[in-house]
Amino acid sequence: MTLLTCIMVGVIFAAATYMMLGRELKGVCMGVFLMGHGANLAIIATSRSPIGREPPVLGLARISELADPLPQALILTAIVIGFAVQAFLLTLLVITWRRSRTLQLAELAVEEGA
Amino acid sequence: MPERLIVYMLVVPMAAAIVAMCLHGFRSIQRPVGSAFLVANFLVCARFLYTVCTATDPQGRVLVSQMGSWPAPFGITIVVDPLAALMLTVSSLVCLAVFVYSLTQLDDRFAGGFFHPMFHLLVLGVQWSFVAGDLFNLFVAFEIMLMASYAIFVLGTTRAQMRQAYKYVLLNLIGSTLFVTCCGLVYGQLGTLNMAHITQIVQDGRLPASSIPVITMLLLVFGAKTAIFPLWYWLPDTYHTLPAAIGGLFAGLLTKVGAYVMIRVFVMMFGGSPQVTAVLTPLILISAGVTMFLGVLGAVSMHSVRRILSIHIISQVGYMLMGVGLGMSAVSGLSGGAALASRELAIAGAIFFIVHNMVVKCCLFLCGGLMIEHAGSDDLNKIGGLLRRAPWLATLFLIAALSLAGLPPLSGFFGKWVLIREGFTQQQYWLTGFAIATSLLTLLSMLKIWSYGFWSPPQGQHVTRPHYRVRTVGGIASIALLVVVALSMGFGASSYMKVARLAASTVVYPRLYVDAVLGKAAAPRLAPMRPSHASIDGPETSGHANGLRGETRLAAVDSVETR
Amino acid sequence: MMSTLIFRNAAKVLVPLSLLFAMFIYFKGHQSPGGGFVAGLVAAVALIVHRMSYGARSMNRMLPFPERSFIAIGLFLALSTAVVPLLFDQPFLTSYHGSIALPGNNGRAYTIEWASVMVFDLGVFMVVTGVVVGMINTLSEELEFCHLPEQES
Repeated sequence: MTLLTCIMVGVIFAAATYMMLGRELKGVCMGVFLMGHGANLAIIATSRSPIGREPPVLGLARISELADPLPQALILTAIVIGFAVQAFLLTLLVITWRRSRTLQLAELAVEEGA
Repeated sequence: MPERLIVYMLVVPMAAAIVAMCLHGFRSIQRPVGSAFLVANFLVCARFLYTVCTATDPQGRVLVSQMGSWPAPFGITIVVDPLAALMLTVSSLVCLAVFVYSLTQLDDRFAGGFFHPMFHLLVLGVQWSFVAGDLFNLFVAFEIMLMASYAIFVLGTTRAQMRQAYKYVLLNLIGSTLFVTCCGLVYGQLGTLNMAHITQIVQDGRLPASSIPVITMLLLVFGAKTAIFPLWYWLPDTYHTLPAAIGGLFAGLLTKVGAYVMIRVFVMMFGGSPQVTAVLTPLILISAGVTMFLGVLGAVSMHSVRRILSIHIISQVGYMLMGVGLGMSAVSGLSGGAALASRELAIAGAIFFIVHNMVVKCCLFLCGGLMIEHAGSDDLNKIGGLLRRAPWLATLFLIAALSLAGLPPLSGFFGKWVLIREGFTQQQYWLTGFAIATSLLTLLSMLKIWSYGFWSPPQGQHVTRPHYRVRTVGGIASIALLVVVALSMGFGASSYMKVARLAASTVVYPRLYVDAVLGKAAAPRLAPMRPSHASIDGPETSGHANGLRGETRLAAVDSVETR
Repeated sequence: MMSTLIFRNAAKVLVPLSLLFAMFIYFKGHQSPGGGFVAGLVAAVALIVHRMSYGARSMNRMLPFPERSFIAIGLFLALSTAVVPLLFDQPFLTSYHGSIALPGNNGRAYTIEWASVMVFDLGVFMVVTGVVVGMINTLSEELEFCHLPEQES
């Protein structure tokens, strides 16, 4: 299972990198979002697999059967931060679109030169 | 003041941000309230610096507060040691000066909207990264700082600046993603993220060799934030597009936070591991030389005030990096006590240099803003004669510029002097040569601004803006505040250096820090392994270093139960 | 704005139910999975469903104060709860808990557990609701603005 997660992390990072190399801002931003999810998955992959363990709440099960709570806390925090970042980037895209009616990096550069 | 109150350094800016958000739209109230909060913030930081530096008991030099009473390696810890306290004090002073400057100098286009809450959030992020006691909190603090900086960055941007904004935001986001991945990998390998705990593991020689790639990845992350040699590409294009107040804030704080983190992570946490230093020190030293020299060459070739100053940031980062590299390990020719002493001195030099650079760099950016205010442009070909028109500004600029170049009685000299001397002690002749050459070229580029902008005969039309005198008084006052601090660092260098050496000693000899955070009595990692341990971890543990994780987790749950 | 009959009628049922469910999650979070963050998200989704079916103005009437104030009040609640322990010689963010015995029927007392972290969680709840609703408001205003001519034609 861990191996599968690791491969998935690799695939996601590769896809994200490919998207970020594009010339359109929407795709680039989606690539960044995707990379964030890849990072979260990487935290799961490096921490011990929670499969077959109880949720880390005291009193539900024996301590030895609980999953490690820390990676989950890390991922939750990272997701929240990613949420804020995504909202910010989307707003930035909307503003850019409103101002210049284009999301192509090349066209933005042309305007800058003009 | 009691130890638990160190959290005021986070509470005060956060409260300021909330209040500023409530007062959105009432700028006449927002301004005095914001200034009051920043003054309070500075006083709190200075008070703790005093506590930390005058503590007679060496244990008192590291103040620790465990959030929510959760014990050290498991909960969130906030630590103020002399290094953090010094950084906090100076950064809060810089923030105060920039804020005063922005009151009169920042366009309504920028200063309206949510500038005030974002400013305080930026302060919160910066201060949090100084006091964070574990890697993940450092990440969160970075994110708060960066989110606030993105928001400030795009306030009132014109269409042309949008592209630069994307560059800044996207590259920093990729850096952050790598950082959080590194956090996961470090946790996977060491079973902890607490800085003191990791330091302990490294000092005990229990760092697995497989974690060296992860640590190198951390160098990439922090290098991108600090703008070191191969990773600096985002900085020169972005900073010069910003208004002076915002540029001064970013130049004074953001890259320096990166340099601070480098000292904290690579010198304190991983400096005790010979394998890590063997890999990283050459990388850092080479990068330092290239960074400082290419940066200053870029600055010499530029012809606009803000561009020169922006690229100079990179060159100055090179010196900080040189201190980090020399502090990580005495590379050759030294052994034992002499090596340790040399490392400590190099770190002290780097700390002194960072502190000096925060003040002086910010001051120069603010000066650049006033030059534009006076002459209507910052292209050196179009301005001139500012010496006669703005004699105060000229005086303050000259002092700050010569401090940056490092002429002897001024503050820049002492940091560089210590660094260069330690460079010779450690026989890094090439690097030291570059450092000296860079210093000379810095002087050249500063004199370029001086002679074109201030000394040469006036060019073109003298633009006078409405309320010109009133507007510049606030600006001059805040620049004067920074220049006075810079002068005190030059003429009172010995006392500043004493604090810097104290800070360096807690970094190079981290025993004090570790004991203060983990607590001598608690030290759950020393508890004998439980008999149930084997059954918990089973065969899976084999992949993890020393079975630390299971042990850590058990102790964590223990401490929860006993509560 | 999706103003089909089915969606409007479904929203009538869904919105109050989801708000109730948000409250349930919020209180449940005291002892088991749940809490202010998730509850805030659920409440925000409910509000957004309402916004989609009845329009932005109707949703804004539903809120007691603008969403920006939600964020400020929530942050203030969280920060002040976190600061209180400093007055009692405890570190920042320390949580207190206990139980209250209520007189119940037939002589059996009900005990209610309380924890100071509930107030903190309420702050989180308000921040999350405010942020999500504000975000959707800002972004969809733009979309509605863009598509307005198409809808009219």
